[in-house]
Amino acid sequence: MISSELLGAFQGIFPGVITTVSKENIPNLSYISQVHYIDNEHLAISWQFFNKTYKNIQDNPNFSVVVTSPTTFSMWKIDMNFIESLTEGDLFDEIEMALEAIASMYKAEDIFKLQAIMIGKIVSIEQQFDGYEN
Amino acid sequence: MIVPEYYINLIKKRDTFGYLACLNNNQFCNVCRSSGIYVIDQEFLKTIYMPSLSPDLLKNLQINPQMTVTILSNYTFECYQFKGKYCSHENISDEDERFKDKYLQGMVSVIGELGFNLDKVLTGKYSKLVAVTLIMRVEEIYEQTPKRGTGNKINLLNHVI
Repeated sequence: MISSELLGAFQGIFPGVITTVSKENIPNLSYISQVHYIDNEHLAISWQFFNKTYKNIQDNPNFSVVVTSPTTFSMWKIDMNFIESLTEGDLFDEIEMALEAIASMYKAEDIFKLQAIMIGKIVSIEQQFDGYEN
Repeated sequence: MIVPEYYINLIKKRDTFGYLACLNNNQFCNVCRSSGIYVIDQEFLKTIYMPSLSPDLLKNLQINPQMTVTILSNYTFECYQFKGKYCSHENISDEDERFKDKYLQGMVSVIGELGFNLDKVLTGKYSKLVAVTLIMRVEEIYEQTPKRGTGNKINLLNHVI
């Protein structure tokens, strides 16, 4: 179940990361701008510059993201399986608009251009830190 | 590999976000936030790791030492990924503890500029989590700064900053 606190961590205030594994079993880390909630089993990741990530996912569809709440500093690791990538459609447009808002906040509109979105199925959610007040 | 001075200085600035990752036995990664990264002896990277964030990470590094650390400069969006081999770990020293505190101050300051007050991170339980330092030998550096063509391995022989 995805809590409202976890949803707040998807906004991209704290840059999250995505990890994949190459066929040589080498981990790859890449920053992500935004995680988008689809439903309790599926998330979309904004996909901007994931050259190595894309290559690794062809060999191993498992990936993980780590996100952090900007209000409580709670952190979660979400293990997922890659389903598909999309370059158009309502969901793409919605994420593109949200990304533009983040870009504007960081005054970096030119480097936040969305290339695609990556849809994944949630395998597990692990809370790594439960916030500074708990 | 000798880590060039440029990257050493970038990491020292403490206005970066950092993460570390290794492979686990389910073909996913163990990955968590780092609370401080710096370069020692020009080829070894030291990263401050809090075991409670990812309890299996250290155990899995001892099985497969392949390790990845990434840093992102909060102000310039410069981003680099360091790949290499885990060498050892040790208890956090007083100097590491001071480095960690300043690193967290830098992170809280950056988020504060965006309107989020995380001052309690500096005094609350996160700052008191048990931490150890992991030492890795750097083998490769990749550029991940968000721009067209990013993701390539940095060829240090031809690399001009």
